[in-house]
Amino acid sequence: MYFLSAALSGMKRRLMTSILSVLGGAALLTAAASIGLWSLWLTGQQDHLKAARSASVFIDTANEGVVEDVLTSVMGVRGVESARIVSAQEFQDFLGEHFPDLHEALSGMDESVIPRMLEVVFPAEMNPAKRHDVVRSIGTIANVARVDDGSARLSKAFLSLHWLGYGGAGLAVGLWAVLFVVCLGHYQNILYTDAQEIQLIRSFGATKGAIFFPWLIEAVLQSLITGLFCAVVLFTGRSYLAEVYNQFFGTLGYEPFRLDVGNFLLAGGAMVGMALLAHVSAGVLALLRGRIA
Amino acid sequence: MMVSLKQVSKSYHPNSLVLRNVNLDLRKGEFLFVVGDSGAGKTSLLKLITGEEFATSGAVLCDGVPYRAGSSKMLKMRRRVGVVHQDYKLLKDRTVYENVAIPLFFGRAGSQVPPVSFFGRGAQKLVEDAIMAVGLSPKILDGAVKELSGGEQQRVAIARAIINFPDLLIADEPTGSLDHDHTWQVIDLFQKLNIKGMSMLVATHDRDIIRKVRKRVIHLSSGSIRVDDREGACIF
Repeated sequence: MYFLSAALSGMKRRLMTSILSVLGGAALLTAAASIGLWSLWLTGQQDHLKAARSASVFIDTANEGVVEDVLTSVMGVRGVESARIVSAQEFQDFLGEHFPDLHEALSGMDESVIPRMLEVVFPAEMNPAKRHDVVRSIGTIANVARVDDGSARLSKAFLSLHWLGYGGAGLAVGLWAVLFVVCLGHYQNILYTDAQEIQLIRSFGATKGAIFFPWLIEAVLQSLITGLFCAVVLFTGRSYLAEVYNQFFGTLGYEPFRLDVGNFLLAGGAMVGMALLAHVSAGVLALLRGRIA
Repeated sequence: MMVSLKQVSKSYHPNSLVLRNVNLDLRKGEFLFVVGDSGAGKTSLLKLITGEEFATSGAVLCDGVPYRAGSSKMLKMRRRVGVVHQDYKLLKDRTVYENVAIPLFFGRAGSQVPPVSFFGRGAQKLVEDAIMAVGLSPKILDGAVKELSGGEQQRVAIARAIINFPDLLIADEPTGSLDHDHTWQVIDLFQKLNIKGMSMLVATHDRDIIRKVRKRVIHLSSGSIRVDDREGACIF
């Protein structure tokens, strides 16, 4: 009873610093959680990306008949969901968009110099080992010069994203450290503002743990509010972020930032936990540093 | 509970002693008045005994154990002591009930006090008894402390100090804000508690109380004990 009333009274008396602590914590943790969820989403999206499900099959001749035969053979391989011929015009357009110099060099030449290729799509649920076998089977078909597995290309791309992950993790830790410092300031401030009450309960034999207990209640309340605030900001802002994302990566054609209930709970719990950890560790440090008779 | 001061000196600033070589024994069940002019060192003496302050030199002992900051024995000793501060030290933003009940959550429940649960169950009757013992109505328990008069606040502070039935009650000017009737009501209460075995250490300016109660008196002057009258017969 005393502990709860002390915690509520403390928050009321320090309303402004409590609000600042909650808002500051919410801002820092929202940023940290955004980074975490982004990484989580990015990892999860690999399976949905079209590139991860496709392969480019290069054919060693421009003969239309042969190309169609290869297409028929490829369609016959078990594990291929669909396949189509990439037209010379599509190829030229691709070069024009991404490699203009090469496009210019080839434009004056005979169409036969332009390599013919197929785009093959695998089922989304196919596992990497099975796909590897399918790709190898396609490679054995006559007139197939090379099979370029999209998954392998994408893996390289994602490998470079590891550094982004490390950076994100470092940034999240840094943001938590800032929150810790904010909380430390908050609890050191309490030692001054509540000096009389601390002195009083100390004179009745209160241990440092008893001094800390109202802080712990305050920390739990503030952490829950902080976590709730983060969740509201993060998940109501999700649709806006999705819209912005689609402006840059809209060609993927997938709804970005899809989060199921499990991920939602994980993110919410993580934010409350991070806030609580910052509060509790800062409170303990403030208590140890404070001179209490 | 026996408290002893051996050659105790206290200074807050260099070259300025508040207490000088004080020797004092307070025996179990004893009633002791501390008198002296303002600045004589009464409050400092009381703070040394409650453990709020520590001696610059010499030793303060409780049942033969010297005081040491932050020690568990020190905390246990504090739980056996009730304190009425000169400035009451009430938590102004809490109710009277919350103020009076505070020691129940930290202090030792004495043999005459049933234990109180962590959530405050069992505290209600103890709080009501304490508040009535100092002549206040239980109706004020739900009110805020800041709405009370100075005299009422002083009595709430006394109720808080005695709620746990401590072994030793230390009171610094406990009747300073009370009228004649309430002063004697409080002194009568102190005497009754003393008869039940509670040691008393009361700092006061009120000579009338000392004359009528006739208990041991020490007179502090410039930080030293000038008179230690065990019969309480001296007139200042």
